[in-house]
Amino acid sequence: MKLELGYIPITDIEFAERSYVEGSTLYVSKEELSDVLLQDENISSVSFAIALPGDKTRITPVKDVIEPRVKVEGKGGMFPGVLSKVDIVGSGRTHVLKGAAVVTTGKIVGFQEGIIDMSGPGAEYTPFSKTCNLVLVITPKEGVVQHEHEHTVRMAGLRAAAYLGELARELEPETIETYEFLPLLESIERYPDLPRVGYVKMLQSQGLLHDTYVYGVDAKRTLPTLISPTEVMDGAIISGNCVSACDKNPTYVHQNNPIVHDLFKRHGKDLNFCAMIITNENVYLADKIRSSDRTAEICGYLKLDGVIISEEGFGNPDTDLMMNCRKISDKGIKTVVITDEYAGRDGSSQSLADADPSCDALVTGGNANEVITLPKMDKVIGTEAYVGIIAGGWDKNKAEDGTIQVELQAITGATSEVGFGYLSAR
Amino acid sequence: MLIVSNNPMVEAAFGDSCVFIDGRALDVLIYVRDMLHKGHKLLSHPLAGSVKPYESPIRSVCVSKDKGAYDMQSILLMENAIDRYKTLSQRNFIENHNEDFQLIDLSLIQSAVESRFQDRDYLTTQSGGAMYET
Repeated sequence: MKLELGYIPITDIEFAERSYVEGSTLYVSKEELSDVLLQDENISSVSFAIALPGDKTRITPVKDVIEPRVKVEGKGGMFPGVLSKVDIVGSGRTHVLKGAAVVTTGKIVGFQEGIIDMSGPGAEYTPFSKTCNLVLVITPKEGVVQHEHEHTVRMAGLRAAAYLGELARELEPETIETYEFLPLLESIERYPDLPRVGYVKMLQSQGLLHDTYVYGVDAKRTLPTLISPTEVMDGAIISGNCVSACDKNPTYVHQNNPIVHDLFKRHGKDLNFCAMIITNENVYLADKIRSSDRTAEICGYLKLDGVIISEEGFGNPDTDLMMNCRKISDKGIKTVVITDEYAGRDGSSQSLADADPSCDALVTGGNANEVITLPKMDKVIGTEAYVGIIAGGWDKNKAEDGTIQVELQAITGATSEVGFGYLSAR
Repeated sequence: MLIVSNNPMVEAAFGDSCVFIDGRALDVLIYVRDMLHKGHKLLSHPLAGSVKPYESPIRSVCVSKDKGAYDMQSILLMENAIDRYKTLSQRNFIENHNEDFQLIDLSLIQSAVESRFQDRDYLTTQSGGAMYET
């Protein structure tokens, strides 16, 4: 599968009479976009706000972040099985409004989280302080229950991203990157001496605000399967989860997974990136056993030499992570796991809720319990009402001068377990 | 299957299959641990979901109704969960969000129960799907 990503750089967003892109500015018509979103009968009203890098703006509670893209050549459309008909994506050409993002916000349950600060110390921890964000504030109709509300906000974000992406259809990209994922046998034939490396991507799949969808299917109802990384780049996986904002993968991160990009960079040089496997993280223990068994079987069947495993979330997925690591290691395959830590505010507690001796190579995204003070912002998009009660916030955390104290876990993407963030020991 | 829970929504949804604990989330975990020592088997992970154990006052855990051989793996998972619960700092919960915590907990446990339903032995040995539907 060969996918070309054509990047159209965006450095500014402005509201206008009609929607279009000129130079590196994205002009958005609120009216046109409202018409698209209000097709959803669960929405009572939608309002828009712009948050640009450097603004004294806070967005919270953030639900999802999505990159506007459009499929210009090849099979399928954006978000197959969800917005477009079910068809295999990942080949042909896709145009990207690089630098732009759609951010959804809205109170679904009362302890929700997700902070994006566009400037100040908080901005150093979230990758979405560097994107030009169009924020959707969705108000549902009365009587819409939480599950429907989550679905409504999720769909609104995807629709808005697809609508904006469509503006890039006829544009000439400034740069084009090509990613080719070869059939397994061809890949081995071409690079017979390079170690065969696979990537096991774990997807959060537990229930309300903890779900992920693959080609429109709830991941908790799937068995682990092979997927081309170019399919994932092309919108095959979308996020329906946001609890514990620091280590969840927003849709944007699925579209731009750094593990995939880095493996492609080294493919054919010092390794052969020849397999990507997606698996789930369910609540029920038999599901965890079944999924980790299947994942290890696939890795063994492909006779991989090394596997990178990335987790999503924390707590019971630590058990999935360790089961995957142990069972893949038992096949004689070397493993590296990527996770983050909940080691207490002083960092002295045990980092993970589960452990296994086979897990002897681990990369951390950082300690999500670390405390940070965020200054008062001039503008808040959404509401700060929940900052005190979000996971990572706590009671009486707002000082009289308006500064707030939170744990890093409240900040969207702060301890990304696929490395889409800034925390580093470097 | 039994669901040990301090969540009134779970009690309402699952009726007699729910062992309701009028206490803290930690009390639920300790009650389940004691059941495991008596031979019940842990069926859902004690740290369900990403609402951190110390951040939600609500907890539900699925265990087998029948007692069998002592399951060391279950007990280790449970002891680890209790350790996490005690290690990480406690918060004061805001009462008016209790319903939201209950709803998330119910959603997570429903996904576990739906998985359980796919188990053949359950469907053949238990009295159909009445438990989930009540």
